[in-house]
Order: sequence, then structure tokens, then C-alpha cells
Amino acid sequence: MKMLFLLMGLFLLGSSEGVLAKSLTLKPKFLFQFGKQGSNKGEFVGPKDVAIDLSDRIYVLDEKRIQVFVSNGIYLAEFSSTNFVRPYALAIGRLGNIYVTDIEANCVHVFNKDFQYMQKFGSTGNGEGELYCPRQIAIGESENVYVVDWHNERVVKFNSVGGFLTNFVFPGSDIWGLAVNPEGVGR
Amino acid sequence: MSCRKNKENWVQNYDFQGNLLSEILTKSESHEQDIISKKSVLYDLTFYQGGFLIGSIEYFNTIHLYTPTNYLTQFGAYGNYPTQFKDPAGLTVNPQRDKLYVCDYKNNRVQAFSFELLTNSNGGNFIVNGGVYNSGDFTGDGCGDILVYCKGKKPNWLSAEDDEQTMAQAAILNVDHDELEEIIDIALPADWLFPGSFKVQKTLLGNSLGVFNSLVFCKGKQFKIARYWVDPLLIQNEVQEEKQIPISFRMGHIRASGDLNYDGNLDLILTQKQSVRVLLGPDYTNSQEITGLPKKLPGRVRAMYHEGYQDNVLVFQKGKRPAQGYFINSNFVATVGLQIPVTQRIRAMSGSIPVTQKRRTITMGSFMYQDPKIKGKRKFKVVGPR
Repeated sequence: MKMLFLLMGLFLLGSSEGVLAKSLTLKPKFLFQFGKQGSNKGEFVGPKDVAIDLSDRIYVLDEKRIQVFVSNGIYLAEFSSTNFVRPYALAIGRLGNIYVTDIEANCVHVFNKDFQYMQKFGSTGNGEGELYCPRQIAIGESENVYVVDWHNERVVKFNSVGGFLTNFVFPGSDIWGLAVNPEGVGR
Repeated sequence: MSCRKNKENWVQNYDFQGNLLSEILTKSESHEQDIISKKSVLYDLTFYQGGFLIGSIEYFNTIHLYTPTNYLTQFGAYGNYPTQFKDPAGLTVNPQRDKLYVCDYKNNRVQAFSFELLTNSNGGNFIVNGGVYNSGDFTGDGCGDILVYCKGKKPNWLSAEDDEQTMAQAAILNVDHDELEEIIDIALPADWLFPGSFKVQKTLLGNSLGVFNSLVFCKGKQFKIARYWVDPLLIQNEVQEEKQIPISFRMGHIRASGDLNYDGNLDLILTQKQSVRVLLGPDYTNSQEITGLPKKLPGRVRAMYHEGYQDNVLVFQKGKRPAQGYFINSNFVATVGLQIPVTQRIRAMSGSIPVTQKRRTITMGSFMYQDPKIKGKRKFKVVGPR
């Protein structure tokens, strides 16, 4: 099995490279947890992905809905869409729009910051702007949307309203996810 | 654009035009084997502050930390306590990038973490009046702590203001950057005094986070495991779970422990003549022999530790010869023999020290051993960074 993770953007600044001496390590510290099994408020059925908006609110995607929590894990709201078939991953842009990939519907669902369903983009196929099993999603420079198009072995770049921009094709790859370095955005 | 088909697990950096900038080695330098198994999946990835990357490893229930070019460390284990996971999935950081949130898929929860940049210390000497019998990160501060017990009277580091107690006591010494920082008393199981022959020496789960440590107590010919819980936020210590081990001395002596098969249970290492066996949790009814060791064992089993990547290291010591370490994989096969330059009797292990093997420096645990030069008091030494 081959796996590829793509990190778009300038990932390393000269200064931070100097800090990363071999003798340093990161010490993890558990802060808190929230959620238990169930379909009531604040409960989950297999939480798959998490994203945080600029107001520090936590969005958690489970089987069919997205729940919103304040930064300490207290339940705030929830939303969903009848267009969801098998939502897989989510990302939030700087304007608060919520982008959700759907690995079975082969599209990206978009909600606005008030959790209203706005549109979906992408359809099944391997052409321009088409998707086949989209997995992770990330928002990059100028609110551009990067989607791992797993079955097509590529990453597809859309603009913030779903207009196709470009493909990055990696033949023979098995891409699961990607991350955008915030320090690389805008460069 | 670069795409290397033969490479099995990899993280690559691209610019926004799709040009390959660099790739992260998902291998630990100190380990031959790829730290991400073929069976596991690097599921999601995010950027933490300072240019660090954090990835979730789905089937191995761990979270990996990377620099922009190298694997750094990992934490996590299978289970449903804090810092344990059942298939970690998507993860992200907050806008300040100083908090990590992880979807814990089969536990139906989200866990939050923060990270602190630490430098390694050089260890140091310290004097205790009691036996050193365990090591691990009990206090959850990222530094190796040691567990000391004293039978019948107080250890000399306790404050004189405390009332005299006649029952056995145990305490944790927090070894932080060359110094003994604080002492935390342990609540022992109510009907079990702290054992005179306390032989198991290793923490169990999440020891890189310090949230879980397991202690094995014995009384007569019975053994009991207590899962010892330290809440790093509330500094509350309690025994979370106790379990009787159906073990008889015919099976051999318990020498060390660790989670060899990554099932979230403490496995016990037993020695019997020239064989080393693993007694497997959760019920300890199954035992497996460790294969791949030399026919004549390189000494007594002294300790075992888990260094963050997949294999545990089992340490043997004979007389005043340097200790020998073996990587034990999850199939209970010992693979590489390492010479460890410690000739004093090793009592406990934690953290890392560099060990040179085949002109290559790799990292091993730090060793707490007894210095016989000081009489009356026991002087122990922590070797190496952390």
C-alpha cells in the first residue's frame, strides 16, 4: 500500500529550522475530552473529522451530521444536509464557510458561516473538476480548496466557489490526506 | 513532479504550484523498521506551531509528531482512557496552532492536547533511603520519574512535619532535569502492602504522556496489577483498576513488563531457566515464548521499556558486564542485540540515552542503578538525557 500526504505551501522557514535541533522533543499534555456514543446533542456515531473556525469553535463530523462546540467542548449547535451520502472530511475557510467532502456522492458540500447549505461542487468522474472518492480537504491561499481525489490519484484545486483551477496528478499513488501550512498561505 | 512508487509510507512537501520541496522520513533513525506498519494508515495530518507536523495513525492508535524532515516521537495506545485511542481519524489544530484536537473514531469522542517543547537533560545523581522499583513518567511532565518504596519507616525525603506512619509507603520522585523536584505519595491498594519483592519495572500505557502507569504488587505467591492513574491537570493520583493475576511461581519469576502486542494490556515477562516468556493480558491465561534470543541468555532480565516506536526493548544484565538490550517486536521475536554501557545493576528504566552501535548512535532508555560506594544510603544515578 502506498500512501502519500501532500503539504501544500511553504512549510519551513529558515528560523524554525534552526530551532529543530535533534535534542529537542515535544511533550504532549492531555487537556480534555468530550463526546460519547449516541445521537443526542454532544454525542457521536463515529466522529471522522474535526475542524476549527477563526472563533475557536470546534466542528465535528460524524456519520451524517456536523456538531459545533465552543472551545472547551460544550455543545453549541448542529447541522446537516439531506444531500449527504457519506460525508468524509471537513475544512473551514477564513470566511467561515464549511466544506465537506462526500466520498460516495463524489462532491464537496458547502455551508455558509450560519450553517446554511449553499451549494455542492464536483461530480463523479475523472475529468476537470470531477471527483472519484474524495478524501481529505484543506483550504489554502485565497480560499482555494484542495481536495484529495483518491481514486483518480490526484489533488484537485478549486476556487472558493467550486470553480476548477488545476489538478496535481500523482500516478500510482494512494493519497489519504493533505495539510496546508498556514505559514505558506499567501506566498 | 515526483512520485516514488516503491516507497510505502511517506509524507511529501509541495509548493502551491505542485513542485516537490522535500519529504519527511517516516522512519526513526534509531530503528531499522519503518515506524508506520504496512497495516496501518497515516490518516490525517496537521501543522502545529513551530513548524511541527502531527499525524494520526489509524490502526496503531498512535499520534505521530514530525519535524519538517524527520519523525520525532509518538504517543498513544489502544484503549478508552485519556490519551488512548481506538482508530484515531481526522485531527486539526486551533487557529493559534497551540492545541490539537483528535477524532477518536471508535471511542466516539474528541480529545484535546497541547505540546511543550522540551530539551533533554543529562540526568543526575540522587540519594534515597528505599528501594527503587519502577520508572516512568508518573507525573505527566515529560520527565522520567522513579518510584521508591520504604517499608516500616519514612523515606528520608519526606517532610519531618508528616506524622509517623508504620505502614509501608511508596512515593514517586519527580526527576526533572537533574533534580528531584517533588514527591507524590501513592495510595496503595487497601489490603495490599507495598511488596517486599516488587519485580515488575515498567509503566504500561501512554507512558510518553505519563497518564497511565501500571504497578504490579505481590503478596505471598499472588500478584496483582494496579493501573495507576495520574491526572496531569488535577494532580490527582488514584488506583484506577485492579486485577488479580492467576500466576504461580512454577511459571517463573516476573522480571519486567510492557505492552508487547499492543492490545492495551500490560504483558508480563517471565523467566524460567533459559527461556523468556510473555504472559499476555487481559486475563494472563496465554503465554508465548520470546524467540530470537541467544541460546544462552545474556544475563538476567532487568527491565523493559517502550521507546515510542513500535518495539519494546528488553534489557539483560550479567554480573558486571555491560547490559544487553534486544528489540522485541509484536510477534515476540527478539531482533537486534545492543550493548548498553552500564555495568551497575539496573533497577529501572525510562526515557532515552544515546548508545553507539555499529558506529551509529541510537537512543536507549535511561537507567537507574544503584551505586554501591555509598553505604547506609542508596545512591542512584540516572544516566543520559531524560
